[in-house]
Amino acid sequence: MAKEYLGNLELMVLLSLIRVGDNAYGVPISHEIEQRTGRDVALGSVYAALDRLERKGYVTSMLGDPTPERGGRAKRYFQITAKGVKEVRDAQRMLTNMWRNLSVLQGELA
Amino acid sequence: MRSDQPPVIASWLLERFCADPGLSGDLIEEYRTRQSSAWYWKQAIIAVSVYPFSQIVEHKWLAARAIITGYLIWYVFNATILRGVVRPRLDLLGMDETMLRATYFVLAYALWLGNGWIIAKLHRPYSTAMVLAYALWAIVASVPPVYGVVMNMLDGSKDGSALAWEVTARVGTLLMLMSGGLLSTYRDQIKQTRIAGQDWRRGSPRVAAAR
Repeated sequence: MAKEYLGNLELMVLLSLIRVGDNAYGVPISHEIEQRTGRDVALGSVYAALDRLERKGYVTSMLGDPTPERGGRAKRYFQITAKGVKEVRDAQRMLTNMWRNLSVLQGELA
Repeated sequence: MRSDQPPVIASWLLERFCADPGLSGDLIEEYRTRQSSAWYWKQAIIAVSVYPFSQIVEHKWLAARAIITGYLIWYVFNATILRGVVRPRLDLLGMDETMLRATYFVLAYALWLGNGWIIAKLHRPYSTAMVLAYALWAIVASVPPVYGVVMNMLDGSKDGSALAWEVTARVGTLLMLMSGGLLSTYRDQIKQTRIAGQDWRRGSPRVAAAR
């Protein structure tokens, strides 16, 4: 089967998941992305990305208990798997290699 | 003063098209702590347009199975039983044309409602997305017949009412199909809420700790 690479949002979601750690669910994950990138992300898009990551085996999820503050809805907690951590490392390595020795970008930075 | 309850229609759309308690709960939590009705509507519209289509793309084989299932149900009940068995019997009853047509369409629409219901039942937990996949296929399959009517209209063999009838009938079937799917998921959600509600009342260790 062909290797499926991470998309931009998927990578951001995985990194946020690592940063948030335990008790990572949709709200803190999207806040983390917004704070770190300055970009507004829709919760629906975050959940769609998380569903894709779960299908690829990079994250696991479990339902918590329903609470009154959430209208009786449960929180869905997410956790990154070892396969997910490896994928993030691979993405970092790949992107760093692409960035290295780019004269145009170095000129901009100077 | 702003209501503590998020917009009802937006919530209804979310519950029906994104059957994920995590997502709808997160949106309610955000709405109650720091967001506006406009924000909630925007999030609901994005979720409803992104989430089911993402599930179709992610579960292509399941979507293909839903389309085949829907087609088989339609073929067995509409093409064979309804047209081959029921229609000739209705003709024998000697009803007038309008009554005959109305009866036939009620039966056909009931079939589409049942079709949506069965597809949803067989493709849990992606019920709505899979019914939507079949609805998309039905739209694509509707193009040749509608195109045929348009061509007939252009060459003058049929008038505009034929096209209006064709389009109305097909939109009706799609609405019935989606309604069947939504009714099925709604029933499942009520069951889940009852079970979750019972657990919640009893109080689990996590809820007790949060309090």
